[in-house]
Amino acid sequence: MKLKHIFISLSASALFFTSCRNEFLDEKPSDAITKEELFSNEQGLNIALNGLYNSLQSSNALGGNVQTLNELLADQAFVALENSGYFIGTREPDQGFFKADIIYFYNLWDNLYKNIKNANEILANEGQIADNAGVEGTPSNVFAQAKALRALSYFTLVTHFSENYGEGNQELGVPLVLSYDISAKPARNTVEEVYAQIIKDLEAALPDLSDQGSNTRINKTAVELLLSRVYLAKKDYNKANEYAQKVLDNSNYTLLAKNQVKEFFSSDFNSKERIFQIDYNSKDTNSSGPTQTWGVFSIYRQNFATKAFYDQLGDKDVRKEVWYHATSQNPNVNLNDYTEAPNLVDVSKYRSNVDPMLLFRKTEAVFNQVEALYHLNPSLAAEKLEQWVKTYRDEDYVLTAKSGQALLKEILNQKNLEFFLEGFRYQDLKRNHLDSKNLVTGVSLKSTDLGFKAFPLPQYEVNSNPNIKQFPGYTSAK
Amino acid sequence: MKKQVFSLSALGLFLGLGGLLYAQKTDSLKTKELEAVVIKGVYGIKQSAEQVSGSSTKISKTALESPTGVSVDNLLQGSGPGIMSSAGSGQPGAKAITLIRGISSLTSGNSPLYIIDGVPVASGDISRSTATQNALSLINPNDIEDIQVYKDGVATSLFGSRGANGVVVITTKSGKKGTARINLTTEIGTSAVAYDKFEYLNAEEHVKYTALAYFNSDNLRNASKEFNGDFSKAYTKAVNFFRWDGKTNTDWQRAALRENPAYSRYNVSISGGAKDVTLYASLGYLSQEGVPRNADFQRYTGALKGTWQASDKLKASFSLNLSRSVQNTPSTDLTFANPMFMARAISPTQRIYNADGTYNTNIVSVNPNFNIIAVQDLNLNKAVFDKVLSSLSLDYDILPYLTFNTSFGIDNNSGDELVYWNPDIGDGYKPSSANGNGALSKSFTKHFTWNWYNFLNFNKRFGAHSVSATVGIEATKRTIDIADFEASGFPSGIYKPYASLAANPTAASSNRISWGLVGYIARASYTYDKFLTLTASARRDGYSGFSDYYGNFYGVGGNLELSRIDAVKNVFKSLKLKASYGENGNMAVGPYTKLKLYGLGFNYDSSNGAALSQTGAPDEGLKWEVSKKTNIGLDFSLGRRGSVYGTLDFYSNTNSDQIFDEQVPLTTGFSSVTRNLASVRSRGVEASLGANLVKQKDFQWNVNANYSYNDSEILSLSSDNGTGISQIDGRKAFEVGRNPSEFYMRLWAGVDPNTGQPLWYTDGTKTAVTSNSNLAQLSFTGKKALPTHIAALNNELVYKNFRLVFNINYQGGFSVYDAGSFVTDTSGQHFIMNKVKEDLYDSWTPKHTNASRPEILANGNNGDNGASSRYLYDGDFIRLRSLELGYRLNQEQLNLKGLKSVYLYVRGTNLLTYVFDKDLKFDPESNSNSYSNTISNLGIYNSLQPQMKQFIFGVSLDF
Repeated sequence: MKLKHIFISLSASALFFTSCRNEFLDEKPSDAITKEELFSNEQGLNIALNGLYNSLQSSNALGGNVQTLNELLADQAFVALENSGYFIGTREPDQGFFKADIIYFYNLWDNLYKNIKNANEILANEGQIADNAGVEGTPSNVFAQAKALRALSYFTLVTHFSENYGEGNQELGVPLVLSYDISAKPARNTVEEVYAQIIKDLEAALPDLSDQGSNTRINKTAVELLLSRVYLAKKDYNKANEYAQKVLDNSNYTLLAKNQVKEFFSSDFNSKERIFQIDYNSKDTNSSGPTQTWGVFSIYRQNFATKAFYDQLGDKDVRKEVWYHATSQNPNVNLNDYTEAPNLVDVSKYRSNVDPMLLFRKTEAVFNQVEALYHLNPSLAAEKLEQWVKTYRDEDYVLTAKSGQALLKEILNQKNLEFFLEGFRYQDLKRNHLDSKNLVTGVSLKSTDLGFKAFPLPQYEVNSNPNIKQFPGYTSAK
Repeated sequence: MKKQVFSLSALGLFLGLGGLLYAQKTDSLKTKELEAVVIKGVYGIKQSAEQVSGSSTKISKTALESPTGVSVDNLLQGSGPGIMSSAGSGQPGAKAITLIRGISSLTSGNSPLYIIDGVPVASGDISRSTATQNALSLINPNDIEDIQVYKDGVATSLFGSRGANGVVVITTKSGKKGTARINLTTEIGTSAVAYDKFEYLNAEEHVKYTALAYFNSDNLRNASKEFNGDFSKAYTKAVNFFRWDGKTNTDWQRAALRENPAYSRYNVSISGGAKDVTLYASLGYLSQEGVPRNADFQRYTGALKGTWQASDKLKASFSLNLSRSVQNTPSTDLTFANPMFMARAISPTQRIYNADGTYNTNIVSVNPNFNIIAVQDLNLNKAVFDKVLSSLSLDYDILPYLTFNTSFGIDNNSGDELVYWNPDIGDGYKPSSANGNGALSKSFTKHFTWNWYNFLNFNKRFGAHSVSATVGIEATKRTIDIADFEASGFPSGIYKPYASLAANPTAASSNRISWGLVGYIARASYTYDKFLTLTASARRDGYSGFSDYYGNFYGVGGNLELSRIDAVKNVFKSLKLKASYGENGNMAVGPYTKLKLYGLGFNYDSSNGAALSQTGAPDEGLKWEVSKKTNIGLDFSLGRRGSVYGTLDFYSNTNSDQIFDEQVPLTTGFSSVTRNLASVRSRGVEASLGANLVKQKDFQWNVNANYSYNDSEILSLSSDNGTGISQIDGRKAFEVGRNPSEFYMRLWAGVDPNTGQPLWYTDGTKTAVTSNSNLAQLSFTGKKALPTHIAALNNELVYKNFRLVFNINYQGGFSVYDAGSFVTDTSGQHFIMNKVKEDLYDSWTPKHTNASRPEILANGNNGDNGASSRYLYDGDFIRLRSLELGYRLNQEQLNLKGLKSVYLYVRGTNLLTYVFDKDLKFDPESNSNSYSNTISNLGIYNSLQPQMKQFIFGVSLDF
């Protein structure tokens, strides 16, 4: 080879790398796109909305753990001594579960703020995307759904991580983050501010929502039902009653009747009772949801309702041995094999990892109304409660406690008999200052205890945000 | 900047000092023989011994010929100062953690760059769905001629962009001119667990333990007093709980683990060469069983290397390495499918098989169906990886002093991983799954790298002055293509790991990651009279992952060969003082991290979904992480033959503008953002000393030892975060001023002798204790996972036909954490699972108040098993890494035609292990593979497969 040729080839290769070096170095990912690519039209907006529902599916919050923790942290459910380790801290005495470094608090907080981030990213495009006649739905409907889901996430946050509305420490709500900013280190907003934002979002969403379409999308009635929940928590009983009544009056939905109870959780996923639920399917399963730890079909059958809970069901109650089983439905694993037998009751609401997670159903309106009326007109509350149980669940039901705290307790007990594992019990007791005493585990939580005031912020959050305050009483690391 | 000034003035000092001394020297250059051995290094750069500046370590031939592990990085253990290598797990083929001069990066890679025959190869763990696959396990150590480890700024600066964590340069074997030489090596061996002091309860003890849990809880908590103080009632309850027949005492470990995993290795090589051509070819096979019955590793390798002096100016060299590894890797970590974990944890009261010989699937355990023996038998975790590594390089002497080098290489690693869960027992049994029982997942991965460099090397001597200069360009492209599918719904009772049997395909995906790197290199070196050498190099690199792609790196170094001075020469054969300073980069980040992106695949209701899934680099973008390295040292050899030799180096490396995953408030929707932020400094001392004690015809004895001290400290972290503490996985946290591998957890304060309750210190000051873990703060423990001291002693003795080689390693000043203890070493929590003996015999009772374990209570004693320093142990150990005794018969003794020599040997690895902490039950060389970053994995024992000790018998025949 001639010297000349060598130099030519060397300089040729040098040239190659210099002339096209930026093309050589510029690489684009194969499975992700930019903001401009996504939010260029209505189709992209719909894709982003699906992304928000996708984070809602996570079992870390509304896809399972909110429901599970609301039972296990209260009085009528427990983790059996024979367990796989999930949720085992809920058995610890002295509020041992309520530590800032418990993963469940991290996951709950993290997932709810991920929902909020996804909603904020959609809402940042409000008013900028034209309606395309060829695409089903409208951009304004998408934005309304995003607002409603953001409000649902904030409501879940504030009811768990802050004290009840109007009580105790009102400074420590949760940070209101309404737009994405990776550098933000937000302080907590007040409880009042958080509720105001929730109501603002829900009211803004209402006009653009409808009841048409699938029950796997948040809709107008779900928002009305959520408003009745929010006003109940806000102690605005008139409005709680008003929105509950709206839901009850809506003929698109019907209260779950006695003869529908049996199929309701096993096959009737399009029941008129169901208002809004999170969809799962065989390609998109909820494998870490309730079926991981609850019930006869679970992989780790370890979470149970108590016998005391079960014993509240009358003999003719249609839910008995349908939703709740005191005798095992699995011949291989006898409930009597468990140490805590005969205290264990299987909950059979969720049977498959593709069952939708039910977040809103019509019967909740009955209970929201009854609880609101308890404050406004106790005798009417008693009457409505008795009437509902008799009509819809147990014909032999007789309400004995007609007033006072006994009535309140009965309202909430009846609510839990209906809504066990649907995400209410811990919040219901907290809102109403009722102590929780678990007869199986011995764990007790007084209404004045820290664990009933607020969940601890995840230690991670305290570590990474100088402006956020841990709820007083929780040990923060250093 | 201070560092830079310091190093430059140190360099100046050396030069000044040397100049003064040199002026006094009488011996003149003219009388000296000028010829020096010229070494061809990376990029075709030629250097004579004294021209080599900077700090590097050559790995001994013995380490390569008598391998103590299957992968190249396993062999780096104890091989030289400044190299810390610690096995990940005992799974053959598992990734090792290899650190050159300590920790450089907090949240990104710390692995050195590996270059084989000029090609930067894939390293680290390249498995995706199976437990671990060390990319370097695909290289047969037997095919390696030479390994050089470059450590300091000037030695690594040639590699610029990727030199931050050190560089390991591997050259494969070439043929030598002359008649054909054939070598045949056969090794067979057996193994055992190297170190395991765990002792677990037997069936009766476990029942007793459980009875105590019931009994104590009844006394303490239960007002109804179920047992009325009668322990036998509690015992009966425990017997009933386990449905124990009073006889069964299953040794699950014996059933799940191999007592003596087998090993074999066969290697055949032929090498030789004619006038212009040399050839080396080899075939190798290695098989190593792991400790669990379902762990094994097999490797097939082939190598071919040829050189051809095509003309007096042109030399070509071609190498090809082909290999395949087939590995079965049971689940690791604290999963119910990890046989190491479950075989300890399942109660010995339970039977493996039913009376009719079928698997027992009604076990009193975390899950009645989870029979670990059946899981081992019926499930599969199998990885097959193929590697093609090939390079062609050409050297053309344009002029006697000017050479052009070009080299093109490819490294292709393709993986085919299979995870199969049978439909009936274990993870695959999913009664709530809409897709049916059983699951199969296949993952295909292709790591393809090509690399091309072109260099002009100038080397000329002008009287006493030698000058060498280099300019070049290097380009690298790597693409990683992945494709996966999953299927579920396998028919019960049929155990075939193929998706065709499955009713429901459940997932399919594919994607690609790709990056490019381009570097422009210049280097110059000047040597005066073999006395003074100055080297400078500079490199400009562009990498896809950075916002502006490019960064500039450089290194300067100088050394003085003081033996050129008569006064010195009388004592030292060689005495080289050296100083260097260099700035390297660290790629340390994926190609797309800088971009703010919306990931697709966040689907809902069977339609497309997208979500903001990657923050991208905030406003300021991402740039190169810079590692500033300062080194001062000396190399010496004493005596006429240099029979005593050693090195001493002091270094300080500061990695600033690190590619750091800064923790951000979760309210952003993310947990971290990647920025150029933190800064870490590693300082240390390295020394080695060796001696050829005897050097006679039939008696040679070499001994050498090395020692390294390393101290790493975090200099800065993000400025505005809350507590200044960044908690990371692996029970550790970062804080300015601390070692980055310091453990962070609640501080255990023992057992309250009065109540039997666990105690924790309320905070790091250790002034108050509490029995309520809510009131105990997470605190820094003062203990860290990264060893401060590493030492090794190597011995090689040849007497007549006998040969004795051994290597002893020491690592000290570090701690290890037992992550699985929260299940198997507790006071009643998870009593369904078996426990260590101490939990029964040294737990608190009213009569035994001075106990190491709290009182046993059903469901645990105040959360005694929460993560705390209770489960932290000192890791310091001394280990007889290898010992080989051999007997060589040479041609005369054999008197067999064609057979040149026979070498018979026995080799042991990890034969003896001494640990300093008497409570340490598991192998101190334990590093998890569960986390993405090195520091998290360090020192975390999560029921890993244990390291093995091996006894190997070998024969090596030379024809």
